[in-house]
Amino acid sequence: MDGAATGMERLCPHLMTDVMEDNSSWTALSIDHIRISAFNFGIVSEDNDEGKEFLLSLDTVVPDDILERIFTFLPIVSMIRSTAVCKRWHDIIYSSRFLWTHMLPQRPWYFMFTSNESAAGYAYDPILRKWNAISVSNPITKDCKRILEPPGAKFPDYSTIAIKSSSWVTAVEEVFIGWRGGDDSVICDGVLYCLIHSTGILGNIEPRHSIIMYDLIAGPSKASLMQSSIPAPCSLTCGRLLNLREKLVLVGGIAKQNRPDIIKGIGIWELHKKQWQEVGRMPHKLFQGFGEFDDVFASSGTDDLVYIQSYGATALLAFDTKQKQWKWSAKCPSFRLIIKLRVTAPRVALAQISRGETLAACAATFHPPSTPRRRQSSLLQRRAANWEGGGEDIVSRDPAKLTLGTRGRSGAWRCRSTAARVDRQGCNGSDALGSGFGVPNAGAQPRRRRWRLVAGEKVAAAVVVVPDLELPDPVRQWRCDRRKHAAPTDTTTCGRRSAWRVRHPLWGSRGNAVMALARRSMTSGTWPAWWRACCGGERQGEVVR
Amino acid sequence: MATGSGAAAAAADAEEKESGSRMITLTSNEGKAFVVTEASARQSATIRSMVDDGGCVDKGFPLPNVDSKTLARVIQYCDEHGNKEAHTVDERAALAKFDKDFIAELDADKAFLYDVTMAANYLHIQGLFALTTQCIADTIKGKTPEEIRTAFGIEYDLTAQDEEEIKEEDTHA
Repeated sequence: MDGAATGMERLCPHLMTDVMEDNSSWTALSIDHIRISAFNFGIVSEDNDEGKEFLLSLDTVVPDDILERIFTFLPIVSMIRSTAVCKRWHDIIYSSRFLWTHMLPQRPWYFMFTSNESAAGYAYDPILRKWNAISVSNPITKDCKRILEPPGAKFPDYSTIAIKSSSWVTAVEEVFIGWRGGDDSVICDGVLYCLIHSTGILGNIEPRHSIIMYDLIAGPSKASLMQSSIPAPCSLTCGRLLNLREKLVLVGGIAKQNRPDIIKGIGIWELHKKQWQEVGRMPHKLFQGFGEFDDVFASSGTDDLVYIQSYGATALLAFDTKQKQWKWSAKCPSFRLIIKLRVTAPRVALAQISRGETLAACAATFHPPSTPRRRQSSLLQRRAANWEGGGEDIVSRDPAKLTLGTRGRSGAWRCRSTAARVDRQGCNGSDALGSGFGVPNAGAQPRRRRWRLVAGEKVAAAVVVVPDLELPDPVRQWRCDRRKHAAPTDTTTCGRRSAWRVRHPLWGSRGNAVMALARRSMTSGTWPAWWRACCGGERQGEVVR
Repeated sequence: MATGSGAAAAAADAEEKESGSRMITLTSNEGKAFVVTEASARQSATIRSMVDDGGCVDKGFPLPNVDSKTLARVIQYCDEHGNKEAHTVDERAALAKFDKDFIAELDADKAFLYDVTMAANYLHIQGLFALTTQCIADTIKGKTPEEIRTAFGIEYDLTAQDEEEIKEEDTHA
């Protein structure tokens, strides 16, 4: 019986229904059968060159919904390119809501701006592992309107009329003697963290770093900021605070014992119950290959990725905190321009956003000319209904719109915020008038003020007033550039969104614009037009691959 | 595989053990019958729900949208994933290797790949569907529109006016 069954199987493997009922060897046989069949088919198709038949297959056989699914697997650039394949693909991609809402999460991109004259830069796509040249000049002139200056007088105090439901509340004010505010801050899980370091004036020869924290939800605590501060794990260079999935992560260069200006490695730590835990340390051989460190490097991160870049180096190093892997990017195409990055865009990604659907962008530092006598750090907090953000940073909880604030400066070094919304058509300048708000403490004393807004459940600003002499080099550099016609730019990525700020030389001191890139659907289901212009621009000769 | 969780998992496991030896007959649109283990058939959400609803296990399932050749290939996938364990690293690696070889073979024959994709969609075999669509997406990735058209043999049906419109859209709003 067994013998007969096997024989029958060989003859007609498909028809073994009854005989094979409880014989698990069916599987093996069926594979044999299929392999032969596939092999034969391959030969036949080669012989007959049935390319034309395949042609019909995809277009006629595969229905729209399956095509949609296929498109969701594509990286953005490929998806945009696919719109130019044929009419049907174009229609599917642009008309399907499904596509944009179900798109697979893309890995965060890294943006880098390389030129202060043209506001050009590169974006690194970790999926395709490619640098894409982005030219933001085109969107600037065509799509992203400059935020309008208020009508009437040159520097009208229009911010007061704009403030309706919102105003700044000084939550904490504390003077730190012997400490300087850093310019990095981030909100993680409702807590604002701000990096500070000691000045070394009061006998602190070792440069020390510390993190002050302020709970935005619980409000001011009884302990002073200083008391509740958390010392950094070691002496740091270029310390950066990142929010990776609601965990506070610190990236910094580890200084040599006796030479604090020379770094011997880069470490990544995560804050866990007020204790630092080392997540990763750059392996020695990578560090060697990092090129001239020159004491400065930039880092930023989102999701699970931490990006590190040495100013002046062409490559970008990414650390995956989940897989604990270090990976080099391909070399960025242009070396000459990146040298300039060091001068013009010292911070490549500053603000991070804590919640999934929120969005932030950030901007360059701000420079009143005179020098204040005392050091002061204060935390300010702003509450608003729809509005969260302003100044240098941009936040919106409405995924369809990027709400942004930019800060202009007047001759008297008043700083003032204007605000605008960016929808998919670009900036809507008229909104700016309606929703601008003033920067706290702005007009009274002309001071050098470095402040940043960070966004999260609430927006907070850390305003730091620092003496002139203690400016770090990049800032001084930037001031030099500004005398010419600097276009400092800054970028941030957050979850599936990115935003960057540009300053066009022709716009003068008020020429701030913030552009957002959604890597997932906006509620409207389509991409911002200017984004398409950026990355779908092969016909315009803008995208270098 | 049993999809139950928590307390239901144990019961589902037991049931699966009992039913694991059950055989299910699938019939292609050409009338050919394929006998597969229930575990294998359960890879398909369509069949799984029909089995769970009770009824026609004994009579078998006619699949009017799937031809024999495609069904055989789909069953090959289901057998591999349904009958094999994937608990240890080695086992998972073996499955991943199977997937890789499986899709590489399919990729050589695009027309068949589409058929399998459609069948996977119709039968709701998540893993297979993801595998094949990913494969097609990989073909699109990194190609210019021109190259995509060649790869899939798509006719260029955009009129000059359409092209102008797309260009316009791309340039700015």
